[in-house]
Amino acid sequence: MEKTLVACLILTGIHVYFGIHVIARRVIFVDLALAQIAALGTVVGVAMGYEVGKDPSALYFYSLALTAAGALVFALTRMRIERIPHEASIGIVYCVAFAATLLLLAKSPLGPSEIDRILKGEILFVSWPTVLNTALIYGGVGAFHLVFRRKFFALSFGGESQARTHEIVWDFLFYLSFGFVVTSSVAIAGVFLVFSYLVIPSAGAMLFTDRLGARLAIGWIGAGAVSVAGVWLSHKVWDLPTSPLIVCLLAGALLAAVVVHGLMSASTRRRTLIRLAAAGGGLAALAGGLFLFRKGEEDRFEHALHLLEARSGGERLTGLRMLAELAERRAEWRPHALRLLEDEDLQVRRDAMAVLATDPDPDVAARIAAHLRHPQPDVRIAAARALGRSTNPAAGDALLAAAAQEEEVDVQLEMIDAALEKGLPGAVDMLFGLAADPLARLDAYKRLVTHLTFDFPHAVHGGVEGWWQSHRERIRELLAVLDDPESTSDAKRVAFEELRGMSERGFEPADVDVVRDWWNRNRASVRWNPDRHRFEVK
Amino acid sequence: MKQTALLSLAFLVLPAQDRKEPVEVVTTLGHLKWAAEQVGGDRVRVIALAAPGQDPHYIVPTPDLQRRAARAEVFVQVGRGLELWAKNVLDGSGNSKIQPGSPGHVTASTSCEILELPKELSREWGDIHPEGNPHVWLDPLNMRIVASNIAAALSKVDPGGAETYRKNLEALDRRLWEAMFGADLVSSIGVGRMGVVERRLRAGELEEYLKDRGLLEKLGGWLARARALRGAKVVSYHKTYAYFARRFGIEVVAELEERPGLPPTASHRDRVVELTKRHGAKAILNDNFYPRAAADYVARETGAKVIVAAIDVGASEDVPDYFRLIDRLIDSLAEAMK
Repeated sequence: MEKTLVACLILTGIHVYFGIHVIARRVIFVDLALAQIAALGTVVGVAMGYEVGKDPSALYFYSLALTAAGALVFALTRMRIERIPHEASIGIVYCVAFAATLLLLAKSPLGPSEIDRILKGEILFVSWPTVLNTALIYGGVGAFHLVFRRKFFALSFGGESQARTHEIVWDFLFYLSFGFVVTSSVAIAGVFLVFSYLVIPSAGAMLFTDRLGARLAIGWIGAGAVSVAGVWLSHKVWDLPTSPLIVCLLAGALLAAVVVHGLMSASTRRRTLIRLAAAGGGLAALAGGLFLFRKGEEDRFEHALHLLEARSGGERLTGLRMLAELAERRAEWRPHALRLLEDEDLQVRRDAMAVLATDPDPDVAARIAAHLRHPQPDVRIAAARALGRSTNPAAGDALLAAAAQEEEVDVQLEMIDAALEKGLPGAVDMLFGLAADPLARLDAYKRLVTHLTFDFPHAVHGGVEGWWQSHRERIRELLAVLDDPESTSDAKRVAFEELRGMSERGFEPADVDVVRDWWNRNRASVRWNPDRHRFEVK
Repeated sequence: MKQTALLSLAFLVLPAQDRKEPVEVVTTLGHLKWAAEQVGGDRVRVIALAAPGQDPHYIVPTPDLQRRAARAEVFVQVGRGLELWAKNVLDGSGNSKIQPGSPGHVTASTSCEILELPKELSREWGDIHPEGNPHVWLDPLNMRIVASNIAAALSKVDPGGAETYRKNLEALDRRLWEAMFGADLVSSIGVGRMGVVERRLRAGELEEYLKDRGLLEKLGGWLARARALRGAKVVSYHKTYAYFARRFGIEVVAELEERPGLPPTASHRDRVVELTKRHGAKAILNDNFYPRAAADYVARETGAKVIVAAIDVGASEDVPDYFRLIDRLIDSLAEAMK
């Protein structure tokens, strides 16, 4: 916060001073024009190969070079007997500089962000070296103006009685020194803030006094106070960007100054109060009207339905999510969601299936089941998962039928998983079938082990006696876990994994035979336990 | 008479002659141009509206490119609200073949799994991604979907080339898998089964899957190189890296940009610095078209390293194709993590 504050105060100091000149000369827009020329200089530097951030000095000198050229143009155009008002020339230069900047930036990737940066500045990210540099430059410029103050004040406030050539030189020096300042200021604070510092405090000061010294004092104190307030408020109190806040506060302070000025003198007091009341009333009426006219909140349900019709897939997805929360109105949105099962965007189809999964309507399950044969594996998986959650009695059979024909192993396993969780013995049969496939064997076996209770064999196939002696204690412990009917499926799986790893013999088809034997013996009497997610012998 | 009439009918019904001119394709961004060229080969002529390295959200195409759009037969954009400016191009083209809804219009991100969907749609001021995060292409798995969407449109517009497009798409799929998983793993598992491997990766179960089959040492390519990055914490300017981060296991702990187009607030800036320090983030990913001041500030305050990142094919000379694009992202992150 301190860096930003110090930077703001330094800007205040120099710009209030120049503001007094600029208003007296009636060349308000020279600030904007010089700022834009400075920005153009940076862009030219970039076009010449330098990089923003890496070559600050090179870019600064490019800025300065163009600013000097601009200063020359302004000095020259001021002294001519005016057919074109000076302000107009300055406005033209501003526009041309902006347009040239846009043209140069048209092909550069930095384009939009550069223009943004020029306007808004980066005062929050200023560093101490930058602040110090700026202070030194401004100090130098200030000293320069202090030494030659008589000359400069005469130029701005006095008549045009001096010899022309001398005036051009001093005008040029004025604009050049101004250029030094603007180049640095805009890089830090952006055009808007710089312009505000320039114009607003001195305009406010002008209300109260004609004496230059007093104007400077009022401008400095006023702008300084507003800067402190703005920086502090944006950091600590309101979460708002600093630059724009200061601009608004400056304008607000000016308004307050106008009111105070009106109230100060007895003759204008009454008029001021009336105007204040009128303005207040008018503003309240405008604000109230704008607020009252605001768009009503759309009903959430209607909103969701609208989103389902949106052209963009992302909006359709959002609509689906909103509908998922409105389960109680399912009958109303079912047809819309069903339509999305044929969406061109497969993600929309997958989400639609998930949203419709628990819908008891039989047609829904059938429509989802149709996707068990979709060409895309991801869609088939989504359909399997949705049917897994479905309460429809036909869902399980559909899953098994699809699994029997499924070619991709992992998709098949998803279908079998979904059927398993419904307690369908047919799913277990299918797992045995899968166990014959070398690539699927392990996955099938894992599921068998975790979803069945059976007696684990004590004999370790193909084990060596010595190895058995050294490992048998631990093996006994693990076997105890596997034999214990109270062990959870997970504990059994973990124990089994350790056993398997220990033996380093990997998994062998013979292990499946053991399980298959148990299953064949007990198939008729097993029962699915949904709490423990496994088949148990009654 | 009857025979002539029948013959004329036959001509109408016979399949169209194979076209002599390449299909004119206009894309918004560089990586879409690259994908269209990979899929289309000689049968297409592709231009991209964005100049190299431009911010994909805000592009003003030159008049010449506008003219090319008027003649285009296929128009490819990422979609999801990334290229709001594309609407102007489409409206101004007067070309009915490429309007949204026509066969010649491709929303390349269709069917990709979308991240950061809003819970409800609010036109909250400053949110330029109300349709979810559109930066899908930085996940190589999504590039396959992008390419297949382009191939589908090309096949509709140029049915004679459908077989070519299918073959090119298969070849591209293989190259993307090889780049992602390593050629060794792809040949061990076989191209036909790579779909399963890809789904295991998406489910976060790839390592377990490979370990069970004794294939973990064969993992190569980007995934192997990105293992060094697993769990790395980074800061980014914009929400560009959501898909890249998810796929390669890195975590974006903060974003410098609070709201696009609006100046950041002091509290946001301080929050970013605090998050960077707290998580020990070592790298700040600043897309090449974003201003540097915020990144440099955070780097100064925390010691993190600023990486000027190219996020589209052709953004700089180092990234002439998609493979080099991902290479560079992974390499520069690995470098910063040292």
